[in-house]
Amino acid sequence: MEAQNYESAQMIEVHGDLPTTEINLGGSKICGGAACGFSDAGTSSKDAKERSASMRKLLMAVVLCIVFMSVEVVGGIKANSLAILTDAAHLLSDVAAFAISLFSLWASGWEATPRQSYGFFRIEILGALISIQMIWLLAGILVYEAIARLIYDTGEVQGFLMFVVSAFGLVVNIAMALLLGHEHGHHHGHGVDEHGHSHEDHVHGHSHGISIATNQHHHHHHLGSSQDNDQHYHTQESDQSEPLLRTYSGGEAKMKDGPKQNKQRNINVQGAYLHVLGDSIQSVGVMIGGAIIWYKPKWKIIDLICTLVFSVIVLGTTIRMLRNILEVLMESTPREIDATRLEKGLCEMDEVVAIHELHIWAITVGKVLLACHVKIKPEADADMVLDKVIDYIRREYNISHVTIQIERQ
Amino acid sequence: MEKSNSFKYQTREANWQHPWTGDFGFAASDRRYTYGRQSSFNHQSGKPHSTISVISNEKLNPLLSRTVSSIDVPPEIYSDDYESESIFETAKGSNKDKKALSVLHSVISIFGVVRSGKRQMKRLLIMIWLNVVYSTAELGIGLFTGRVGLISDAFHLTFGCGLLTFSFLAMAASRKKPDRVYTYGYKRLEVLAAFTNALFLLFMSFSTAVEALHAFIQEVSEHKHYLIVSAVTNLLINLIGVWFFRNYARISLVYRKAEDMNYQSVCLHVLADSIRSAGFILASWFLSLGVDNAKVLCLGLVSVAVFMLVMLLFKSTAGILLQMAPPSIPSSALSKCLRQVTAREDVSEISQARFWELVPGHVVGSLSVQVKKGMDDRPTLQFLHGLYHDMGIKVLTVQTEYD
Repeated sequence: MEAQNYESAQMIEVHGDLPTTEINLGGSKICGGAACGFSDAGTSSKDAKERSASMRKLLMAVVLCIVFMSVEVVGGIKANSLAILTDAAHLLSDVAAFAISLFSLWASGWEATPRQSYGFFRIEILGALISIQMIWLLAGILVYEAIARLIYDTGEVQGFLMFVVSAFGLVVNIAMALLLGHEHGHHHGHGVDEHGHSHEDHVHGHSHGISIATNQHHHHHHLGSSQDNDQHYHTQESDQSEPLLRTYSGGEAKMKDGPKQNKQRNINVQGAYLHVLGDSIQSVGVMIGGAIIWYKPKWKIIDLICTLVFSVIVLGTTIRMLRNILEVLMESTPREIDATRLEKGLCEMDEVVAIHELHIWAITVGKVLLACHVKIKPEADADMVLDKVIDYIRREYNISHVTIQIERQ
Repeated sequence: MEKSNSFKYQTREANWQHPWTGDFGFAASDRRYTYGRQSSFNHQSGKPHSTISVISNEKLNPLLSRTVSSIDVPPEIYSDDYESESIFETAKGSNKDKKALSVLHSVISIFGVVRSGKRQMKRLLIMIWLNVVYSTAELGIGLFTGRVGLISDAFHLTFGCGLLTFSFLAMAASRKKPDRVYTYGYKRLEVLAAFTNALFLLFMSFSTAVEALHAFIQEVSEHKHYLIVSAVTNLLINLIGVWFFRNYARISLVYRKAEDMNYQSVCLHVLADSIRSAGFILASWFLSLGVDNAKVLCLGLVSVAVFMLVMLLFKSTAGILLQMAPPSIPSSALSKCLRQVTAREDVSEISQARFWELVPGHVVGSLSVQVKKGMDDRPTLQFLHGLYHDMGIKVLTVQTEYD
C-alpha cells in the first residue's frame, strides 16, 4: 500500500526488481513489535562499506601506533629513561582510544534486536564520548607530570631527552593524523554523503535491486587523493544517480552549501583524529618546554606554563565535538534542521490546522527521526494528508523515519 | 505494573498509596520524607520502593489520570514539572553578547535554584565546596613543600570535584522547561552526569589496578606519613558525602526518576573515593605490620571493589543513552499489548513499534497501525493510547495508515 502511494507522489522513482520490492516491504512492515531494522537493506550496505573503510583506516593507525610504542618501550628500557617510558604510555593511551573507536564502529553495524529497536548506532556516540573523556584525562595527567617535573628536575639532561622524545612522538602523531584525517579538506563531499543516507532509506524501500548511491558521484570529485577503497567503491555506482539528484531540490541546496558540514565525517574517526591532534599539540608543548629547560635550566616554570597553555588548547579542540555529542545524547533537534521552518512549511498546507509535539532527534550524526501530531480539518482525507506531510518532510529535509499522528479538530 | 504516579508527585489531597504514611502522621502539606525512616523502611520491605523523592514544590501532573484523552489534546507533559522559567529562548541563533548574558543569567539562576532547591542539591554543593577546599589546600601544601604524592592526590580530587560539579549543574539545569531545540527537556543531563561519573569510576578502577601492578613490579617499601594523613582526611570527607547520600548507597537500585541515577552516581563516587583512601590506609598499616605485597593486595582489592560497585550503574545509564527498550517494561507485556491491538477488528496490522526511555520512568514510543479503510480511527487511537498509558508509556505517537 505504501509503495503505491509513494510511486504516485514521486516524480522519479528508480525501480529495481519489483518482486523483491514486495518481499522487502512485506518483511519490513510486519514487525510485531520485534526488531524492525532502522535502516533498510540498501542503506545498510552503504553504511557497511563506509564503516569498513573507516575501520581499515583506524586499524592501520592502531598498527602504526603499536609499532612505534614498542620501539619506544624498548628504547626506554635500554636507556633507562622515565621520559621515554612516559611517552610510550601516552602512545598506549592512543592505542586505547583507537581501540574504543574501532569497537564502536564495529558495534554500530550490528543488527537491531528487540531490545535495541533502533539498532546500535548510538554506540558510536558513546564511544566518541568515552574517547573524549580520555583526552581530558590525559590532559590532566600531562599537567600533573609537568608539575612533577618542576619539582623533580635534574636539569639539562632532562631537557634534551624531553625534546628528543617529544619530537619523535610529534612525528608519529602527525603521520597518524594524516592517515586519519585525510578528508579533512573535503568535508563538503561527506556532508553530501550523509544527506544521501536518509534519501536512500526511502528509495531503497521500494527498489531493492539497484544500489543507488546518489551523492557518491559528486563526492567523487571532491576526494582528492583518498584511499583506493573509496575510489573503487565510487566507480561502482550507477549513472542513474544524476537525474535523481536534480529532482531533490531541497536536498541539493543543502549539499551545495556545505561549509559547516565537517561533522558529518564518521564521528569515531573524527574522535580518533582529535585524539591524535591533541597529542601532537601537546608534544609541541613538551618540546618547547624541553628546549627551554635544555637551554636555560633555570626557567623551569616555563615548562609548566607551556604545558598548561597547550593543554587548554587541546581541550578547546574537543569542545565542538563534545557539543555535538551532547546534543545527540540529549535528543535535541539536530543543528542542520530548522524546526521552525519545518513547522511553518507544514502549517502552510491547506488541510493542516496545527502541529504539536514536534520532536526531531538524531540517533547518530546524520540519522534523524521525527515524530509529531498534526491536527487537520475535520473534512480532510487523513490518508492523503499523511502522505503529503511525509512526502514534504522527506523531500525538503531528507528525514525518512517519520511518525505522524493525524488528529482531527 | 507499577504506576509511577504513586511516589513521584504529591497532591494537595494527600493521595497516598504508601501504606506507612499514616503511621508517621505526615501532614499532606509536609513534603519531605525523613531519611532515617525511609532507609529503615527500605531494608524491611522487599518492594522496590527504594528511592526517595524529596519533593519541594512539584505539583501533580494532571495527565497521570486517565480521563484526559491524549488524542485530542496532546499532553503537555513537562509544563507542570518545572517551576523555573525557561531562561534560554530559541537558543539556536544566539550571538556572542547574548551568550555572555545568558551565562550570567544561568549563574544567577543556579543560586536561586539552590536556595529554593532540593535538599540533595544543597548537600551536593556542600560536598563540592569541601572537596575544592581540601584539594586546593593539598595542592598548595604539595607545591610548597615539594611532595609529589600530595600533588597527584590533589589532581585526583580535582577531577572528582569537576565531576561532582557537572552532576550539580545537571541537577540545576534539568529543571528547565523544554524549548525549541531541546524538545524533550533537559532531564537527560542527569543521566549523562551519572554516566560520566560511572565512567570516571571505571577509569579510576583501571588506574588503581595499574598502580597495583606498578607496586608489584617496583617493591615499594615505606609510606610517607603525610600521605597517610591526607588519606585519612580524604576518607573523612568522603564519608560525610556517603552519609549525605546514604539512601543511594546501593549497587542495584530501581530508578524511578531521572534524579535517582544522578544521586546514585554521586554516592558511588564518594563511596569509591573512600574505599580508595581506606585501601591506602590499610596498605600502609599492613606494611608497618610487615606484610609483604600489602600495597599490591590492597590496591587490587580496591580496584575490583570499585569496578563491581559501578558496573551496574554504568550498564543502566548506557542502556538509556543507547535508546534501549525500557528495562522496566518486559517484552512479554509489550507483545501482549500488540496482540491485543491486532485482535481488534478494525486493525489489520501494527508495525515499527519502538520504545525508549528518555529518563527512568518516562518512556516514549512510536508505532504505526494499519487500519481498514473507511473506519474511524479515533476509537482505535484512544484504545491504543490508553493501553500503552497503562504500561507506563505516556508519550506515544501513532501513525495510522489506511488499507
